[in-house]
Amino acid sequence: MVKVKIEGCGSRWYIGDFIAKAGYDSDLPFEWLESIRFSLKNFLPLCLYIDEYSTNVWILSDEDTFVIDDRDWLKHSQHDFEYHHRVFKIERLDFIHTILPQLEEFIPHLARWDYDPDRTFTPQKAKSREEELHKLFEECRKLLEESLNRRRVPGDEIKLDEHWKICKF
Amino acid sequence: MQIELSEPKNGWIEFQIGDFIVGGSDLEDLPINWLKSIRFSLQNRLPLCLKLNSGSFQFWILSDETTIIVENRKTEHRIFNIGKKNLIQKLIPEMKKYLDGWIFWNFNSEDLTPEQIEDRSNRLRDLIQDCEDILER
Repeated sequence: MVKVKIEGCGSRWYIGDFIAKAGYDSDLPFEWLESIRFSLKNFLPLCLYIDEYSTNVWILSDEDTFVIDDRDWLKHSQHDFEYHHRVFKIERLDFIHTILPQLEEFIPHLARWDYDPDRTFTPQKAKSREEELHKLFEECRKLLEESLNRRRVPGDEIKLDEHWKICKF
Repeated sequence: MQIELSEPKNGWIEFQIGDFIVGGSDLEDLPINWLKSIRFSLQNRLPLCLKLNSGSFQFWILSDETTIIVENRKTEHRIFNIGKKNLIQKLIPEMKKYLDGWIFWNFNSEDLTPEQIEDRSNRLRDLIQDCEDILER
């Protein structure tokens, strides 16, 4: 399976040999979790966006995972650059199963994700964001568990423990 | 840029973007899936992802500042110079054009009760309305 790793509070994101640096220009924690919840709830492809400040990365995960970027823009002019895409052999549910527990470890940092340009970030605001993130994670975990069970044969029920590993019963 | 959806017929649809035409089958509930994805993308201001499935061929349409189509069998992708909002503004009227066809997209007309037909019709209309409301804001 392709290695997917998130370092620090999501500042560096690895999938295989691809590294993305996530900037603070978008509220990545909520955007990602809401996209994951939507994808799991509706059995639809997952699309995640990473704002790298001057360049952009899109992750599209379904039967494989595609990573698309416009980094060529840095080398060429705005009108003469190419988008690149790579394909990683990791299916949507496995991909989500890999990244969610890693993201959850960083909740306190993600709650303070510094996207807010008006700098009115109070400890109360951080606390309420942390609570909302916990709720979203719990919802995603449940949906992921249901989805993983749906793709397995009946009777082969699985549960995710607190570390999001698969525990068979 | 030309954006067109053919009339849904016999579980098959053709989507045209520019000079590129791609087909999709009723293996998936395309109208509901596409409208849900469009609504989610508009509501959350996130990139749009649509899927066309024709069995062994699968296409994913990713639209943000530009529109990119990737295919499961190819290593190359196609780029179209149309942003997400413009794409949606052209797609919604196309979806409205053949609403009756979408109601029976992956169902035989005789398999659905009048109540089920009405439910599905209302569901599609509601989703379209939601998308149009957000677009107008």
